[in-house]
Amino acid sequence: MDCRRIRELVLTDLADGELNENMRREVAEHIGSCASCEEFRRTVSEKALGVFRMAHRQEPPAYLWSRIREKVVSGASRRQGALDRFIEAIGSIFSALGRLPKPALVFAATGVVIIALVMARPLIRDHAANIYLAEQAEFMARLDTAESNGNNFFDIEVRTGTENFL
Amino acid sequence: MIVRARNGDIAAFEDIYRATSAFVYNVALRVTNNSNDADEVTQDVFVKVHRSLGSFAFRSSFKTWIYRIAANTAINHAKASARHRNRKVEYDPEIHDIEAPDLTRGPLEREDAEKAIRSLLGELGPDQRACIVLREIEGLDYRTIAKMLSIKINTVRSRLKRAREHLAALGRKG
Repeated sequence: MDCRRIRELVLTDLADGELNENMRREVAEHIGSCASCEEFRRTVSEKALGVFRMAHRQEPPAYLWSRIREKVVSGASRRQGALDRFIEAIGSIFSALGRLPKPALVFAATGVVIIALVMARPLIRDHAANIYLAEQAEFMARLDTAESNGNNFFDIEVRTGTENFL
Repeated sequence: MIVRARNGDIAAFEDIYRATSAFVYNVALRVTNNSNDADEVTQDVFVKVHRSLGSFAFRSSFKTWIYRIAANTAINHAKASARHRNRKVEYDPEIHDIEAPDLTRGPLEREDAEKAIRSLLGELGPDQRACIVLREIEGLDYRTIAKMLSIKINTVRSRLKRAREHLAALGRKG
């Protein structure tokens, strides 16, 4: 292994105990015989690793749990409240419908279907109109071109009435 | 305990908090490098955990699941704070002028060590800082760190390598 590879391992796997026994021995042998790599290992150990060994765990502040508890409890109540209101609204719609006599219920349902169809009609009609308009636009675009003079898009002969004078 | 907490038992949720808050808080503190941000991140983590209890499928360790939320929430918060504060512009001489301690001179006072740690972590970006914290301070191995951060093991390795190169270079200048 060359010095570059050794230094990579010093910065990573060697420092973190991730090397197997054979690799660890090989790296140690190289460092033992290479002053430059030994110097590098020492610098990394002192300046980049050593200080973190002095780190101690801090206890979370006591007030944190009460703040979390408050957020969790109020959040759960808000979600439950919204869900309850939604269920209540659906329930009241169905109970209002349930109070209607059957014929009235059938009439109301039929009315909803008819209204839906009527509201959809313009959309259906507009679609057909759009197709028609698109065809006409294309036809108009081909007027006064070779296509419209006896060889046009709609296979319609265009007579201007002046043919007999030419 | 998890099932009871999921069903709304707040005492069960408090047990979960007591069992995991030290890790969550310390990761939050070290990754954000700021105690106010650490408070906020810790609260966010446990609110998220509470909301997501219903979706925890028992396919992985519960602790690993919480720690993953903690690490990622802390990193995202640190990145957002760094963008907002533009920390290269704000220069705090009290933090930046403290060089890495000379360990050959004997044991450091706890406070000095804390200042030195904060100073060194402040030199790193959030991604590198998270890897250093999880490896050096929390003692996790590469595989666990990779799982928590949803990155490859080689990415853990390269982030640690770059972080330590940077810290070693700072130490040589000082």
